[in-house]
Amino acid sequence: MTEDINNIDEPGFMDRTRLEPEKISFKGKDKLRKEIIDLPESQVEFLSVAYLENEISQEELAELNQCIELEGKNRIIFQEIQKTKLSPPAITYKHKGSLKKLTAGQRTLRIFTTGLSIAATIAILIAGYIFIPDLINSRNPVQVAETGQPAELPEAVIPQRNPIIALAEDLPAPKIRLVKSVHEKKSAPEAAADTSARVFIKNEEPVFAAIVTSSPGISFQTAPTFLIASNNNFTIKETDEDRSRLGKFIASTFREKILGEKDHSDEPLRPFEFALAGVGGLNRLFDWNMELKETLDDTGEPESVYFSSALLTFNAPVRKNDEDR
Amino acid sequence: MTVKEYNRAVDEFSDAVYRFIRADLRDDDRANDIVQDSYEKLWKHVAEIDFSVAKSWLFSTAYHTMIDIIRKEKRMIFTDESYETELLNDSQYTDLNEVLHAALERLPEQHRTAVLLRDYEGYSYKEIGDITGLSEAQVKINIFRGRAALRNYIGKIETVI
Repeated sequence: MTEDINNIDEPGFMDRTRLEPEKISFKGKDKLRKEIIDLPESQVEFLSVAYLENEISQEELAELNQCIELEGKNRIIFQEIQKTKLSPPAITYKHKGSLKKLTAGQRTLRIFTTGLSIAATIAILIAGYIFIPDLINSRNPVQVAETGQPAELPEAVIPQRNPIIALAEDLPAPKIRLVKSVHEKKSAPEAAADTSARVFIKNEEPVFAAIVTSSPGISFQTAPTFLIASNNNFTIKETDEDRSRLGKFIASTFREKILGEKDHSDEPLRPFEFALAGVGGLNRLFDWNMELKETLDDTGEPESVYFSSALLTFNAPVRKNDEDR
Repeated sequence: MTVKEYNRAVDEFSDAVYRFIRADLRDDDRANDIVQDSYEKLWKHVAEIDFSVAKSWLFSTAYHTMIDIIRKEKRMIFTDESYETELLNDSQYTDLNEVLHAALERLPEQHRTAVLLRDYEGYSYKEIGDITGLSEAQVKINIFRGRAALRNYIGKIETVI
C-alpha cells in the first residue's frame, strides 16, 4: 500500500483504478415500457394545458392526439381543460380622472376656471341676497293711492276666507283678483266721493270701490254690489295659515337636510339660507373652506353678513326696508 | 416617463390592473384603493420608469400590495373539499364564465394570480414570473395546477347540472 502511494506519480497509475461495468442487462424492460394508452390522467391534463397555453411541442402534440383518439375519457379531460380559459369581465375603472395629472398649462387653466367660477358664484349669491328681499317685499303691499293722485296698484290676491275688503254677499268667486286700479273721475250720481278706484274681479263684471277719505267711522253698510276701500296704506302680509303644507314641508326639509339644523322650523326660507346652502354645497363639492355668517341685532333682525374665502373676504351691512328703519 | 405618458398609462392600463386585483380580491373598494396606491407609487417614480415597462411595473406593484393586504388579514383560503360542496350547492350560475370565476376565487392565491395574468392579459410565463417574483417553471406549474383544479370543478358542476 505504501508502495502504491509512493508510485502515484507513475504514468497510467490512475487508469488502473478505473472500474469496468459488468456486461449485465435488465431483463424486465418490456414490463416497464408504456404505451400512449397508459398515460396517467395527470399527464393528459398536463398535455391539454400545454395545448391550451400554446406551449406544446410537436412530439407532445402527436402524443396528445393519439391518447385522445384511443381513449374517450382522455377526450373529455382535454375538452374540459379547454373550457378553463377565462374571459375578462367588461369592467372599467371609473376613477381614472382622479389618477390623471395635469400639465402646467392645464393646471393654469384649471386655476383660472376655478377662480372665475368662484367669483361668479359669489357675485350671484350676493346679488341674490341684496335684490331678492326687495323684490319680495315690493310684491306684498297693496296700496291704495290717496284721493286725487293717480297711481297703480300692484297685483294682489285676497283670499275670501280672510277678506281685507268687504264684499257683497253673493260674490261667487273664491278669490278676488285686484288686477289694476285706475283712478277715474266719476260724476256725482255714480259715486259719493270725487274719485273711485275701479276694481276688477277675475271673470266677473267690474265692481266699484268707493274711496273713504278717512279711516275713523267707516261704515260698511253700503250697497251689496260695491266695495269699500280705505285710502290708508295697508299691506297684505302672508300669514302662516296661507302657506301651503308643501311650502312648509319644503322649508322644514331644507333646513333639516341641507342646512343641518336640529330645531328646523317651517318658517318661509330667507335668501340668506339659500346663500348659506350654496356656500356649504360648494365647500363639500370642491373641498373649499368658504365661510358665510350672519350677524343679528338685538331684535333678531339680520345686521350684517360676513363672507370669507381664499380669494375674498368682506363684512357687509344688511340693507333694510324703509318700514324697518 | 412624461406627464402625457403617465396619463396614457392611466387610460390604457388602469382597467386591466383594476380587473386583475378585483378578480383576485373580490372586493371593489380595496381593488380601487390598490389601483390608486399603485398609480401614486408610479407617479413618485415617474422619472425613473419608462413607459414601455409601466404596465408590468403597475401589475407587479399592485400584486405585491395585494399580497401584503392578504397576509396582514391572514385571509383564509378554503380547502378543495369545502369549496366543492359549496360550489355544488350554489345553483345561481348562468354561464361557464361565472362558474369559472366563482371557482377561481377559491384557488390558492399563486395559482389564481398566474391563471388571471395569463388569461386576462396574455402575459408569458416569464412576464408572470417577473410580476410575481417566481421562476418561469414555478409559474408553469401554478398555471397547470390552477387549470386542473378549475377543470375538476367544471366537471363536477356539469355532472350536477
